[in-house]
Amino acid sequence: MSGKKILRLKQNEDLYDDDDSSDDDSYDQDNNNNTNNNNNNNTANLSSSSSEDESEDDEEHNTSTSRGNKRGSDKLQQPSQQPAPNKKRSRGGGQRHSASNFFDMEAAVDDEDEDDDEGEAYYQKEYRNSKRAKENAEREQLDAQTREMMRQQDRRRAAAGGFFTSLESRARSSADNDDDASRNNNTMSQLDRRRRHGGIGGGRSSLEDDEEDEERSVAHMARSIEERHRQSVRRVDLDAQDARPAYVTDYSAVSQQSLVPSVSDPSLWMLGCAPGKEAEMVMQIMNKCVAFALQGKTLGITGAVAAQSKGKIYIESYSEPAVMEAVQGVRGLLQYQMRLIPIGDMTTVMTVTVKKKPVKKNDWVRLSRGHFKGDLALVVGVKDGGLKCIVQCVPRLDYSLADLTPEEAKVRRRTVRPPQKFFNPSEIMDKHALSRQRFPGLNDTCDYYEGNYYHDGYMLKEVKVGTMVKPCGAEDPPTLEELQRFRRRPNQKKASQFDDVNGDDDDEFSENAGSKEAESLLEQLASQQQQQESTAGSSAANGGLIVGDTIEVIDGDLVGMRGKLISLDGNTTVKVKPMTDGIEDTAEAFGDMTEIEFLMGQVRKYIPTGAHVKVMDGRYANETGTVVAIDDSMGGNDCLAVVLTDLTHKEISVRTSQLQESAEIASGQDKLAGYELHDLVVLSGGGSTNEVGVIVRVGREEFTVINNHGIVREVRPEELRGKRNSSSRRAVALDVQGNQIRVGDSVNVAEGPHKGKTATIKQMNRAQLFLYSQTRTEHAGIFVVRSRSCVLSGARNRSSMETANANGNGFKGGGGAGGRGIKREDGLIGKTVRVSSGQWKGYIGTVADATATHVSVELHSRLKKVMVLRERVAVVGDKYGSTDNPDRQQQYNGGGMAPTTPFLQGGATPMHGGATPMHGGVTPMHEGGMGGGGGFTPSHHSAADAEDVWRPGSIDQTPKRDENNNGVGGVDGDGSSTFGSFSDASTSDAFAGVVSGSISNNKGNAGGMSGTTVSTSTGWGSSSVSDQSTLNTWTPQSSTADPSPSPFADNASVQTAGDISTNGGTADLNGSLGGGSASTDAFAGKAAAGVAAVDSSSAETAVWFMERVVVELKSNGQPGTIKEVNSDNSARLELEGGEVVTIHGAGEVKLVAPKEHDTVLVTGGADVGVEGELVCIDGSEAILKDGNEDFKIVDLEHLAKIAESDAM
Amino acid sequence: MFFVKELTHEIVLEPIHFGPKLRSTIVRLVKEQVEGLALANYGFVINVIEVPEDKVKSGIIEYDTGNVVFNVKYSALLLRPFTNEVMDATVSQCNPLGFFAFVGPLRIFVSKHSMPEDMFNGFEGEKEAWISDDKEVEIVRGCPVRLKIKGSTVEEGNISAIGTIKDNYLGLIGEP
Repeated sequence: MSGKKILRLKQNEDLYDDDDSSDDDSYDQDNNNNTNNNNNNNTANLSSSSSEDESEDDEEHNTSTSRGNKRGSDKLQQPSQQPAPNKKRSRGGGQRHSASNFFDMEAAVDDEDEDDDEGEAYYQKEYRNSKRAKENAEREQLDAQTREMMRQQDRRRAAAGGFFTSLESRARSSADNDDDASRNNNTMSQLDRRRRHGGIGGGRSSLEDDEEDEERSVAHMARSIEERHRQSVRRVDLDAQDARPAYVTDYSAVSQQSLVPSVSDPSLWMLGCAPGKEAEMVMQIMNKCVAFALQGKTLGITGAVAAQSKGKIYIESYSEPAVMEAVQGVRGLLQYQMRLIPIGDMTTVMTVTVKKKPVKKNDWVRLSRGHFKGDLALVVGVKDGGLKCIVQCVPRLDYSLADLTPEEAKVRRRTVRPPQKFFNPSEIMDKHALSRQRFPGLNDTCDYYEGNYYHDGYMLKEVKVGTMVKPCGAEDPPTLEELQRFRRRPNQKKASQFDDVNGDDDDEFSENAGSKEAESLLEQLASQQQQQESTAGSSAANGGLIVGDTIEVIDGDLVGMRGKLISLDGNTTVKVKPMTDGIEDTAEAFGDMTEIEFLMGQVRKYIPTGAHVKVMDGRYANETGTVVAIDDSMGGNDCLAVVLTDLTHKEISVRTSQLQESAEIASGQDKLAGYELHDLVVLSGGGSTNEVGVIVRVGREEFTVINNHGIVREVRPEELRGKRNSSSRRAVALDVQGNQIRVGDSVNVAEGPHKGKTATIKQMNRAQLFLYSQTRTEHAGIFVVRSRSCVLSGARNRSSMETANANGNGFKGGGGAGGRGIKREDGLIGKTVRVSSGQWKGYIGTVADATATHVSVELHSRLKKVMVLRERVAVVGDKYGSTDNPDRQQQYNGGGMAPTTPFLQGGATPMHGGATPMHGGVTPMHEGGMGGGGGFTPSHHSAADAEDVWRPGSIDQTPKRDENNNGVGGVDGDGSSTFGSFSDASTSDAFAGVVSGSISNNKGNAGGMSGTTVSTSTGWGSSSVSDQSTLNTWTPQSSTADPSPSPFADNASVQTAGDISTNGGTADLNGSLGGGSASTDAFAGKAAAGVAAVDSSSAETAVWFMERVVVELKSNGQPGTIKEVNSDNSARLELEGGEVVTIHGAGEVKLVAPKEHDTVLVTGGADVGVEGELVCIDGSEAILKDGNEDFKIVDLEHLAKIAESDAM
Repeated sequence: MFFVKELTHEIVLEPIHFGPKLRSTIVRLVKEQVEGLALANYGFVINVIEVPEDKVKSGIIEYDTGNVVFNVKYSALLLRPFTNEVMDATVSQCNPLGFFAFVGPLRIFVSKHSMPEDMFNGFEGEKEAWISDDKEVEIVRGCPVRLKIKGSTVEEGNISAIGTIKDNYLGLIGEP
């Protein structure tokens, strides 16, 4: 029953003071009748008032009374089950009785309010709604006597129980009246009683009533008995002093109908006023009426009420001018909005909507705005008749705001939700911002800081009910954790109060009321839980035992024994098969006993530390995790297990009875409203338009999201605007080395707060990577890093590396895409494929273009391009040899192809060779071997024009031309594909660099080696070095020069392989190269020989030729450190003695073989760029400990000793 | 515990490999595929010690693909954590809930509940270290610790364990 007030005025001097806030609005119409009668009566019946005064000063506006009156005048409407009123009426005098009935009733209900009859004027106030809030407001205006009365009213209300709800329903009810009646039996009986009394007039005993019954006809009685039994009989005592039996009767639709206002009842006018001022307006009108009444004038209105509608009050009167008069001069009322309510709508006006429960003091509520959204708060006071309340909550203060510029602070305030923390004045730097003020409306003196009041560490806030707070309903009660957080522990409090210079003396020794409240609720919950456990027959009662569980005996002779539960007999005994230390077959130890019986209380579930468990029950139901500790201090047959959850890496405390050993790894509660854990979602609100985040926790009805700035906040499902998982999966970013990285890759964080961590990319958004690390506990292991702060690492590169090395072929040269991620699209483009199913099944063609799902194949046999699903094509290769490693192929091509020979590297080489003179050395060999196979020449791009290769000038154009010619012929397409992928990373630059002989990579440091450029020049470097050294040094150096084996090379191999197998023309090649391919070393040797012959003018630098590398002068073997490398390939070398010499080119020096414990730099392979300490050397491999304390296994050849870092 | 065991592994070979180097390919593939793997019952394969080539029997040709399946026997060095086994491990990361330590590839988590009482509240966020109340023991990244395995979880391809240092002779055994 919400805030409605009715003010009822009597027009004669006899105004009855009554204050019953429990009255119901639906009775309004009755009240109208009532008043109506009173009006009539009183004008005619002044004499009677004195007698009324004596005994029945108080009026009960319960309509049942008025009903009696009404019946008197309107008997036709009365249902037949009111048999006796006439008879009873004889007791009261004719005129009087209607009034006296009415007042009788009052007396019956409220005998104590006798003092009021001393006053000449009794005014009657009827507060229809039982809001305490209203009372509070009223209190200010009532004198002490009234207050006393109200106290009594309260008591009465408590006794009356659900009276009013029923009234409401009655007002509305039509057909299902029986139902209604039985539901609200209590009320009905009461009503009935009153009605009778109304009819009868005076107070009567139940005896009288019985006698009366006897006088009725038998049939009548039978029926009434029947009716009586149809309902559950109940008696209601309205007041202890006024204990009267309640009569139970039915309420028919007809009688309900009789309550509905008719034309003979006063009309209702609606007036507008400022929202929230309704109660005040009614008060004013009441005061006015009282004042007028005191002057002997009466206002012609019969009531005023503030119903639930906002900004509206209703005035009840027989005449419109009376209303006008009544509102005349009342400020705040909008007279021009006055409107007559049609009779049909009058009930609606008074209909109570129960859905909003008013907040009461000490209620728990949830705040619904701002940072406090969802926070628990305690109502410490109610204001404005329940429209506002004062709540106490744990503040969320952000002290760092003070240090920021206004703009930054603005952003931060909007985005960052500070954690809950009790207010502590001593933590506030700016003492001027802090003051002591009184909280308006409360007696407490509070700390005042930045517009908010703090008391005892809590924040006090006046909020609007409904919009800013929501009551904690039954479906959403405060959780244990919230309460625990809310409760301020005494010690903590004390500590803070000692700090608190302004410490509040009043509260020094008493704990904060709110804190106490929380504590009591906690205790209540705990006891409830215990009760539940002791009574509930299910899991809790038997300790959650299930047949098959391991149990431990905790009581009796066999304490400590463990066994397997064989059966549960009822809920009292269990049968256990003993076992010791996990060995089940220990029957002998117990004298052939295969099973022992125990009482349920003697055993408990045994969960060992380290077990993987699933929570079956309770708050954490369905979580899984590993038990990290067991605390059996609780006693009883239950212990507390600390479980480290799999999903969120949090520690939760669960009773062992709720646990079940399980191998299952829960996805847990990871779905809500279509969103899952680790989804990339778009966030709305928060100002920025493109805010995205990754879900790191899925709550019951909200998510915890870490956004692209690494800020964590809670959002509700409706705040999310869809997932971006697919775009994240498609996205490609570049790491610090220019490698392409994508979701699923493993990266090392190279800089920033997360430096040194290795993690997997879970999601990415633009340049922001959402990394997942299993060893991190916060935010489910997710953290945010910029892609440019990461270095690609992980198995992908390494595996290709190892494969390459395993071949023992250092001649792989370029490894163009070495450091780069695999670009699948590129990998397929240009390849010859066979369509394996669909319309074009069996056709062979060249891939002209590729997307994530489709490839566009240019068919060899027809002049046509077709789009085919990626899965539907099998690479059948190109003609440049075959791959050495089927696994690699599978990785890229889904296992489409088989042919593999070690020869491939040679095949790959010329491809790169196309760009380098060095490889040129190789080419003639092939040419010889192939006998002019033509297609094999490095100049794939221009089929026949092998000469181009030899003209450095043409090389720059090569990629472009390739692209132009892309896919013109199947055979040539292969070459173009190669270049295509090359060109992806600014190939031409790389080539240009190579051709001009500039050392593009020397400028970069270890980490700065980027992509193609490095790799390409690396290839060069190796060749150039070899030029100047002997063939013996070739191998290691070339391996050094083989930085990254790369998908690129592999692609090449794949193509090569394919062609061999499919291309008749190149079958030759295979054959002719067979010998060579059997031993790649031999091939490499040849190649080297070829290279050696090549003009060395474009001498390149070895990959290790960079600063800090320790080298040895070839001339005299003096060791030194490269201090500076110039762009012209010369370098400054600091010799051991401190002498500085300048060398020209890497050829003058050679690497110093690193020894154990040296600091080394990895110059090739998957871990290129990594610096670390050489732990040990194992044959050709070295074990390295990098800066992250991770151990890496690297080929020894890739290591360059560097000077002990001084700069790092 | 480390131990050596004879195991078998199934290798599927494409026809391209059928040639004089078949056996060495098989050996190589076994190493590649098996090393680093965690086998549920045997633990991590640390190293394939030997793949006796003469013991590689002829394989079975798959009808559909033409691939050949070889069942290869090999002996491998394995690392398997046993409950209550005491191991020396290197701390790799400390967090407020405990620390992670590694024994080779095996990750062991030691919860704060499994630490001596005087370390229970000893996490220091700034240093990322677990420090005992008397400041004597300071477990940071890189420290060698002796711990006892309390349980292990086998996931696909990985084994992780829960350990404790709350016992006699357990805990920090050296400087980082």
